[in-house]
Amino acid sequence: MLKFAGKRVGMMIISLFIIILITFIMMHAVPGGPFTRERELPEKVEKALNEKYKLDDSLPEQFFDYIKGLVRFDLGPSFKYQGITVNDFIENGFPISAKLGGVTLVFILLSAIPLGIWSALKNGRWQDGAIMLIATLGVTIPSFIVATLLLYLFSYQLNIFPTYGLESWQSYVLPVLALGGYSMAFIARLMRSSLLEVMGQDYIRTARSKGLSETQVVVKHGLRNALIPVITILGPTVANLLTGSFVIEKIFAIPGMGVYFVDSVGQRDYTAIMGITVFYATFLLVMTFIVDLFYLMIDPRIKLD
Amino acid sequence: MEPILQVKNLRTSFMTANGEVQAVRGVDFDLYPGEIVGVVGESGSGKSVMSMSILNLLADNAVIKDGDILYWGNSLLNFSKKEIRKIRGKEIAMVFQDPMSSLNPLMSIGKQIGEMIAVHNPELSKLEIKVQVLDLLKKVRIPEPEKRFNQLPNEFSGGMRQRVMIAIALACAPSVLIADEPTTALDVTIQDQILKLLRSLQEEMQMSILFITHDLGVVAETCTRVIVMYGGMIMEEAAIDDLFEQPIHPYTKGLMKSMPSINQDRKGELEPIPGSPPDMLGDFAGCPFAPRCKEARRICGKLLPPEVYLDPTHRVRCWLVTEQAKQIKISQDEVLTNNAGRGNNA
Ligand SMILES: Nc1ncnc2c1ncn2[C@@H]1O[C@H](COP(=O)(O)OP(=O)(O)OP(=O)(O)O)[C@@H](O)[C@H]1O
Ligand SMILES: [Mg+2]
Repeated sequence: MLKFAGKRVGMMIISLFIIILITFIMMHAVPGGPFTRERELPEKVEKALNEKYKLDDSLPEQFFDYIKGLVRFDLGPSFKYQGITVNDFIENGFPISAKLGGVTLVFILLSAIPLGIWSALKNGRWQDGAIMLIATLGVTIPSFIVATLLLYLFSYQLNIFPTYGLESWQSYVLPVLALGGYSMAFIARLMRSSLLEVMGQDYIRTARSKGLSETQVVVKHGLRNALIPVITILGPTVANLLTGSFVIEKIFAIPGMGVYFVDSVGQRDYTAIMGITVFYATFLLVMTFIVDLFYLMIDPRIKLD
Repeated sequence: MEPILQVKNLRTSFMTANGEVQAVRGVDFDLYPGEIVGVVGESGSGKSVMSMSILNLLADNAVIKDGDILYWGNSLLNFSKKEIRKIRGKEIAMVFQDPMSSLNPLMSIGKQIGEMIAVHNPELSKLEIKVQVLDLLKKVRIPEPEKRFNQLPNEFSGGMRQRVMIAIALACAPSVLIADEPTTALDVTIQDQILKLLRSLQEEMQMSILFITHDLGVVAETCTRVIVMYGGMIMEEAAIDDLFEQPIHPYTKGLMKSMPSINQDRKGELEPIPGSPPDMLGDFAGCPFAPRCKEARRICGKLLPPEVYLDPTHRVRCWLVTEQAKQIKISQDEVLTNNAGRGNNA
């Protein structure tokens, strides 16, 4: 177990290093610097700024400075906002995105998996048809349209839910639906098809031939096998939800990470882009690692040596 | 003696997008306590569908259209879901065709065997069950039972998995064992070991076995009586010696000529039956075997032959025999009426 964890952590560090390197190179390959304006800055000012942010050092030097900062969890100052660090962005934005994402994730898991199971067990009947129709809509309609429709219907027409912010529990309803709709529909469909496939397997017939009740067959033999593909896509889904969606945050005026990230790209805020990318990447790698641990729990065939 | 299991005019179909696949088309036979009856036939002749109909373990799109299945005279088809569950495993158990896919890949062997005992004996403790499972593992000759108990199916070879399947089937000491090609997926030496094991366990436990296979050689070594199936019907049934000494149906004869295990001494003379099995969609015109039959006459392709009893234990469904039957003084009319009201002659 420890060996497995150690190996995985080592691989994570290597992946992370490569991601940082690539982002760094790409950032410096795009034309224009952080202080490029429509109107030229006085040469003196630009020089002073470049000096302050060490932009005149050679690229390898800059890169190693950056890595040195990272080791101390220091993502550096923002190029755009005086006196604000990239860490500040993340400390402000991430808890908000993560909270919304966490609520959405719980909502998805509690709804999509049971709905998928139910749909599979009612295969071909009207319940199945209804769930799958909605799920198909859910995976085909883009989230900004869902968000707009929800806002129009529940806020402007019916006036049940607020249109922005995350102050009360009611204000969570629409963003959670808009943010989670796609994943929920996707996971419900995956859960259904996976369980249907498993229920057609020979070992399910063996279980039935023992005299187990249908519920026992599904719970003891069907679900565990059927959950494996669902767990696989849970890693990226979790990372996706928790790191915030620019579209949803913009529409519902939620000051999360997604908004910071897109703003910093628009403004060529180098350190902010780098910092948030590195943060995203780390987060994604950690989530995949956690999902792999889940895998180990559910699939005893995976042996650790 | 009263038969323990009776299958009466069983018809099982699958509703598919292409139409109704009539996999079993009126099968009748009895199984008596303590006997081993073989069911042979080429691939697709309906052996598995027939055997899965008995415990109603068929796919969702299957329908039992007609007939009955009696266990000690009680119709299993009239049983409620709960009642049939009490029969499954406890009274009638099955060993399935493919040991590689018939075990849950995520559950330890010990658990999968123990589960069978636990379902039918809810009063037993975990420890008591484990003791019984270890006993069963020894009984089916799996070495190092304590170590094997916690292992997963992927740590077992095909032959070992089939032993596990047999252990599961025998866990509740059933009265009837349906073994659906228990050795087909295995290589010859392993096949031999499994057959020996089944025979010795049968002697020890005195159960009835319905032994399904497509290998007449295996039947010769194992069974007392044989049912030959083709196109979802019984073509011939006879005591084992009768069948091998005096096969009547051209299909039975063809099977014998094509079996390597019977013809070991006459190598090079293997003769597979030309042609391929019939399409099970829709009705047959005439005998299902007629298109492949070397001895077929005009009538064979037009009218389904009746079932004729040459003697109380030997029946055949073939037009060639109805003429022989005439010679033993049964008129054509009598054969047909006999056939309509038949079922208890055996
Ligand atoms: N789920 C299903 N849907 C449609 N047709 C089926 C289904 N299961 C079986 N069949 C058809 O029923 C017929 C009989 O199949 P069955 O499996 O009983 O043959 P078998 O005698 O056991 O052959 P084998 O020796 O290959 O096991 C075949 O034509 C097969 O295609
Ligand atoms: Mg079969």
